Amino acid sequence: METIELLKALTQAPGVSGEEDTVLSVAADLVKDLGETSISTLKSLICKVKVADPSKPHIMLNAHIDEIGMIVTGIDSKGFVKIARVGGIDRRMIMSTPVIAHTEEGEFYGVVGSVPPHLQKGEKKNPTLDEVYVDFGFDSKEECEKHIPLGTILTFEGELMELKNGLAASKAMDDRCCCVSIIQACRLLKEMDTDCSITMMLSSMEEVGGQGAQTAAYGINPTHAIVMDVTFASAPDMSKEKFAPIAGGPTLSGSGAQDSTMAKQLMATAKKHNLPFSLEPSGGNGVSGTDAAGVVNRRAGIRTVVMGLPLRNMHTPVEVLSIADLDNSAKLIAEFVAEYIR
Amino acid sequence: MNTVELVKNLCEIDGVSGAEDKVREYIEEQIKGHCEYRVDARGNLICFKKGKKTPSKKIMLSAHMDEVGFVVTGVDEDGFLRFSTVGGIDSRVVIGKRVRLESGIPAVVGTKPIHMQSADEQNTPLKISDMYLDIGAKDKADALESVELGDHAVFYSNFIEFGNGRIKGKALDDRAGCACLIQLLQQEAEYDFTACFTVCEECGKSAADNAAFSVQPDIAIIVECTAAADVSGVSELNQVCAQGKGPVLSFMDGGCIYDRGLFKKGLAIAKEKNLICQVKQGVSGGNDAGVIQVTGAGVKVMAVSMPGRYIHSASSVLKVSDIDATTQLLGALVEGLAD
Repeated sequence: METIELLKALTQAPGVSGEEDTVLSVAADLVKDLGETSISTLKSLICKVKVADPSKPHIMLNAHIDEIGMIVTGIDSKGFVKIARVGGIDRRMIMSTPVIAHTEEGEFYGVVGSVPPHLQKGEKKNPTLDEVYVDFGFDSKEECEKHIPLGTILTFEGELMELKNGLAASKAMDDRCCCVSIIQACRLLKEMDTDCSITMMLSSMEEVGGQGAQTAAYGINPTHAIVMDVTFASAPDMSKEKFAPIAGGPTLSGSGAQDSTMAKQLMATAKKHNLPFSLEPSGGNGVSGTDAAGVVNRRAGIRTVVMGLPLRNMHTPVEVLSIADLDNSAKLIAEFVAEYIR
Repeated sequence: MNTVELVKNLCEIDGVSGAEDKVREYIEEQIKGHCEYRVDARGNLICFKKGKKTPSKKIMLSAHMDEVGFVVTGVDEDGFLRFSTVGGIDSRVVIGKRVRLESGIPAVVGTKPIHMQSADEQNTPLKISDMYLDIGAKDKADALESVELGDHAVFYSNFIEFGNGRIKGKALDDRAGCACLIQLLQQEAEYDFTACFTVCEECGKSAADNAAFSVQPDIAIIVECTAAADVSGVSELNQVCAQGKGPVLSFMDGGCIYDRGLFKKGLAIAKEKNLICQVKQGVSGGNDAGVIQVTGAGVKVMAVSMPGRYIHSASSVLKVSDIDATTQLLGALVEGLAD
């Protein structure tokens, strides 16, 4: 399947942290020809792409499959729904945003509303999540709760839209785009000459703390891991000095708790195969904010490196990336594994 | 064509103030053969419907074709577009949304990710002048191959039927009003009337008075969308009007004081014919009535509006039954106000 088709299939499937079931079944179906698949206790997808002798290295290729969203916490007397965030919802862009509720009955469309402008006192400010509600178009509490029970998960409406120069915008690019790169890398590796075990792991619950990846990594017990997640791309309000460009390939650093040897080998692979990459100017421990934080210190420790995929407008329904970055990341991972992990 | 289909078709046409041509062309197709029509100097579509009888008072109905939107004002070195709004748009409903440019290409309104925002940045609404459109351009020259300064853009929004008989889309204000007038023109009329589809209502230099000048009506009924605050956390007294309660009659707003006689007669006609309607609880907003009222030697005006939530955003919401009830009431008013 083409990268863009994979990306469409995965971004459009709902899978908010803790309720990843729909996107998990979509992904499982997309990778079933790559190896034996299973779902971990905390709902991460595991696919055994290559199983080698246990004395050989074992690399885990990971991206997270969950997305940010909202959860229904209450319904008022008129049938409007109160919500809480699941993951980092940006309240600056929440007003009049279309959302979709996913229930056993099906999908329900809604619009996020807030206090009308003429009733606001004082200076205009961005509403907090407590101050907004979702309008599902129902006329009473009874009517609404029949269809939208408490605890219902909401996603943004955000179809994939192709922009100029092979860029695309969608909801849930974070981190389905990296799932796509990992899948494509495994597809390449399936046909390549290697000698190690390769396991794909698409983790749940990254956006709420990384519980999925750390427990799945424990079970998989690899020697090496590549954790791919989105990273901040430069934009008019995100300076080029501090953030990576879009369409300049994935980012690498190898800093802090990351395995610097693996990072150097990835950079060498990129140069050898003429694949673009940028240096990630990440501070801190080099793994925070990604599933790598929970992977690197599992069991007796896992040699772990982070690859960043530059993304604009992170955590909005219009996350923008370059499709070429996804393909180049997949090639880089595959060539690196075949040469250095074997 | 049913009401929802007609409104959907109208909403999906892009027509920012000053660029209503495609909306007008669509309306012309719908009314062809049902009335006599012409287009005036500013672009208003003026339609004369011959009824079975000629009323003693000349009645004009008016709905505006234009919608709020954006205009491209600059391109930076990296190919991001700067823009301004056309019409009143709260900057808070723009960020993180999608738009469609005049050339048909899509763009998104970018934003610094939440992870990078200070507490103050999260609280304070961003100004439109600090926002940018991302079309995926490589640089300025690449962007200028796809867009020119002055190009319009509209909210990109899927038209959706949802909830209990509601619809969501861009431009319901005032394409829903246009739909009411189209349906009236398509029906047999008891009395003559003139329906005007006007331009530039949203941009502050409406052409509705130019239409009224040539039509010279005794009575003008402005068919609009008005903001309904019948939402969470708002008391009944503050809600202005409510969806599902039919068309909204105004006694006064920010634009004018409506003719007292027409206001009362309108309520009486609705009561007599057993048609639902509600009185606007408040004086906020304004519409074309303000400029039509002072046209020529003066025109008696009344406003019949549909209660709309989140108007002037990508996700305006109407209840379909309110649109149908408005068309019905307008039909009754044309008859009831004739003599």
